[in-house]
Amino acid sequence: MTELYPNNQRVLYLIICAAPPAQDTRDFIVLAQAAGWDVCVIATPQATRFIDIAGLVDLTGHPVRSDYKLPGEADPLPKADAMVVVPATFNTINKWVLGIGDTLAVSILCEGLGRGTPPIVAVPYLKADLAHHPAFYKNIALLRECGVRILYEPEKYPSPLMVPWEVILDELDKMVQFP
Amino acid sequence: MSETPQQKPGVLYVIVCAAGPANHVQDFVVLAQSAGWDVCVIPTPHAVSFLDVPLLTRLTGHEVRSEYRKSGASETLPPCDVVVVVAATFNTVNKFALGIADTRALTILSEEFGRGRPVLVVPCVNQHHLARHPAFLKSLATLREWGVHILYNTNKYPPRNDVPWEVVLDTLHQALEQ
Repeated sequence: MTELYPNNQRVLYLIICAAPPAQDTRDFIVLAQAAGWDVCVIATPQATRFIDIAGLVDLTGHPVRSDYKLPGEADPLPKADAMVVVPATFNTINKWVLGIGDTLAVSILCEGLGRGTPPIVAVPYLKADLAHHPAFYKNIALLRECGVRILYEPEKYPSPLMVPWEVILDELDKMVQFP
Repeated sequence: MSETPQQKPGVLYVIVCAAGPANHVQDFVVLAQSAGWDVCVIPTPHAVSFLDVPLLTRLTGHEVRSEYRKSGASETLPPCDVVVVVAATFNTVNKFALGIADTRALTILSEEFGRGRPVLVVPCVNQHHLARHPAFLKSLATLREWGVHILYNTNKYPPRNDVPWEVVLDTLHQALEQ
């Protein structure tokens, strides 16, 4: 069993898009680490402006990736047992569904969707106006159909609120349990 | 001559893409202002090189910027009443229809559309080339179905839909009266 979870840790890819909660993802990382997750951060290029990259490298012990590696270069991150995209923006959600992999973050999400593993949780964060764009709810429905766990409760957590970090972590813990 | 619309004009967001008409978008700004609109110009990143940004800033009295604001900085434009996308490129039309908002212009366009603001799109797409790409006509049909106003008549304005600014403004006013 230890070979499944080396160091008794599950690997979580935390995919961060460019929206205000990106600034607080450090809190989520600390919480996830305490629950036994080895967290690796992947940010969209726009999201790198919202996070303290050096601080997150120190905290996670992994490089923070936002760009593609060169051909032949080894993947600097361990294999993921789960992925969470939070905050997931309108843009990244729609690109993910459409297969427009022009950022590393979207490419990794597309690969995950194609492979059907590991489990993926998405936590959309967008202004109420954007949620009314017809492309958004169509694409959210499609992701649900593909088995992506969508945590989006605008009635309970209206913008600028988001589903709390604890709820997101609970969901991940339910999806990927220690053997 | 452009007729002043029935309702009192308010704030008009002019989203401008990187195509020929962007070169003289200041003429449209002046025309819309003379009809009473408070005009804000929002270029896509590639459109910036087509524009005289200091002139447009002076003319409109608003910041002309293609990049997203820094996190934490507040928005400087007044709230919008109507949006017109001029020199709308193949790229921006398709992205808008698909919900891809990877430029400030597209994000604002998608937000204002989501909020229910009237939107007029005036494509600048050559009828013999990109307009024949199946994605383009599909995008126009999708946008029309959603209630977006489209001014694209390459029979009348060949080959790229080079619509005179007066016609753009008239069409906008007609759309608002509907």
